[in-house]
Amino acid sequence: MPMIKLQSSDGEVFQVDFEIAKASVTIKTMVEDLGLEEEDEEIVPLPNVNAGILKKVIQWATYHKDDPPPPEDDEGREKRTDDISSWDADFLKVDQGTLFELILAANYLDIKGLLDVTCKTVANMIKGKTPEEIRKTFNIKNDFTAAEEDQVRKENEWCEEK
Amino acid sequence: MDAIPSEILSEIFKYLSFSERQQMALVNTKWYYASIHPEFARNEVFGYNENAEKLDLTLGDDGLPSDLPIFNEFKSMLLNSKRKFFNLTFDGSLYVYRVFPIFKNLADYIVSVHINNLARHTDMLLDAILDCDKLEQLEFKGVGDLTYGNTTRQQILSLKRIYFEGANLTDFCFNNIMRCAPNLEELGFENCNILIWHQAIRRFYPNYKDSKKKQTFNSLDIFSYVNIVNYLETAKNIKTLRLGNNYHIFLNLPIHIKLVSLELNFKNLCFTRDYAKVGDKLSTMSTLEYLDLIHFPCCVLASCVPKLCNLKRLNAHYFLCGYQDECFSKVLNSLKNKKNLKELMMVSLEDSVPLEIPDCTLEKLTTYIGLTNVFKITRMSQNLTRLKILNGDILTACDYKLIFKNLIGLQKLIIDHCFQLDDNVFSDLPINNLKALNTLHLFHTKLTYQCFKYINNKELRKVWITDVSIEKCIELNDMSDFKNVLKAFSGFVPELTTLNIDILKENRSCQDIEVFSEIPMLISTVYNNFKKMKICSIN
Repeated sequence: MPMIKLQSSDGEVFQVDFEIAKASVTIKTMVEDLGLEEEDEEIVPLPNVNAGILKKVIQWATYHKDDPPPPEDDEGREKRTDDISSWDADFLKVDQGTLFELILAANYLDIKGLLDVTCKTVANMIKGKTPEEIRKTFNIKNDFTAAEEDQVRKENEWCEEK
Repeated sequence: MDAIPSEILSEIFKYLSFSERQQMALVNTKWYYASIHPEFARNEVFGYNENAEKLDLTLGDDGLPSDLPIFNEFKSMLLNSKRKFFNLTFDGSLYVYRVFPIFKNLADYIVSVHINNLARHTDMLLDAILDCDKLEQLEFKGVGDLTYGNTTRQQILSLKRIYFEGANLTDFCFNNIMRCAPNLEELGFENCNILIWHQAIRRFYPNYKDSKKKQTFNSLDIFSYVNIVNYLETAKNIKTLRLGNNYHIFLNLPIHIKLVSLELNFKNLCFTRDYAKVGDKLSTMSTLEYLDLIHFPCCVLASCVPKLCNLKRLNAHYFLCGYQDECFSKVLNSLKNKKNLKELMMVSLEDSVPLEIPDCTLEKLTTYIGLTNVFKITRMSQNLTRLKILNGDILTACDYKLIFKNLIGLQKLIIDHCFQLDDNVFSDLPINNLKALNTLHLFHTKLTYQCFKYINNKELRKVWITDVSIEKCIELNDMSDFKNVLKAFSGFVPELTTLNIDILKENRSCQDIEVFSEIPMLISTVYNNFKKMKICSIN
């Protein structure tokens, strides 16, 4: 089975089964563009992902290697968030920082399945909270001026769903 | 969280409901921007309705109100917004003189405009609207006399959809509007008084049937179907037509037009001899994917449906033609080959027996509306998200169980004539199997108010149950049990926004039954206990 070498931002090199690494559209395209062959010693650099996160991503991709491709987004509006598998739920029992780094990595590496499940997890953290509770949970500063906040409230009042 | 860009935040917001997203817009600037991502903003509308203004508006010398406070608020809200997409609707006529700054300042961002109940100055308003060069959709409803002059102006290349309903147009005005939309893909008419009588048309266009002489269609007096057909001759991109009862346009449709979507409604108007013509013409339109046929005899369906292999939606409201058995076997058997079918709606305009659905699976089918045999429909597709059963009278306890056991993807479930659905049957159903259910309508039930104890689907937004018996409360002359049931219900379905309960009154009024006077108290209980309740009615 062909292997591929991935180098994290902090210089660590991971040897990964190409079939697994292919879950990342970014890696797949890079490999195809570079024309890497099986025996190549070439290393694929991933300057946006550190070793800790890359390890987790590989762990996720390994577990999900036989998954069918995720379905296309349909035009349905609100998507479900209660369909996270128990393995994924356990896998994502991490601190907020790691969770957000995983999202960024999934986005950069273009791994739809991982991006979906991490976004769902954050959505579940958001659901049912007031803006003030959100700011507390994620340590966010309210940077609105009073006038700006008033404008958003007005937009909310006038706005309706089609 | 600081590192997460607004784009990814928008990804996360896709899992939130509209109202949850509105809350998130208030967190901070980045979250606000994430909440107005085009994908969301495109499905959101800002609407002004002059009825919201106070009735005692002071009128100026010109007979117009000197101030429209609510309109001013609407305008300043729009002009201060950071959004890049606007769908706007306007209802009424009074605002027209004040509307121009909106179109002028937001010209690059307005993607759709719906004008309702406009009585005057359509010309002026159209001029302002047609300056929005990103405009994609334009809709008029209840616009008395729509006039539009011959101003030369820039074409709007993005304008894809124009729809007229209850609008009085002329050929001249129609042509001027169409000239602005060279890339139009969708055109619709409903109740627009389109002239179809040849003798009348000939008075205005004496040469229109003469192939040797050229006829220009530019009447300021009539809106004729020949003019629309003439327009379609040169229209390159039309894919969708919603023609209402103007089937003459359809019968004369130029052959270069390959329709993907068509709506025809024959109500109040059709010569019997034309049914066959419509059926024949339809059977040649193999590109059709979405077909809505309203008020047709079933033989029209039989002649066209088997030939239309690409259908994704078949919405037919039919009446019987005398050869219905043969017709339905043709139509239904041809369903086997329609692997792309997503929506099937077969509604009989008269009472009728359930359709014999063939033994086949249609994996893509997500919507079914009609008279049906539950067993066959559960076998045909397990992926239904919308199911409306019109003949609930034949449904047995087993049938109800089949629905709740097998169709676990259902989001919308509506059953009419639930004559066999009582508390016993209902309490036995695995109701919370339907995890995604957001709408549940049960009509003509034999249920009592106790039924609300068994509904506990977390995602439910809309519930409407009719013929709900409250005999127990009437006997005790006390509504408190019903009240308690509703209170408990609010804990089971926290997301509920609409609740309609029609109490079985059997022609008894408040005078006969004392407890009926406590219904307003029940309604306020509902509003107090359901946090997201918007509309509640208990009758």
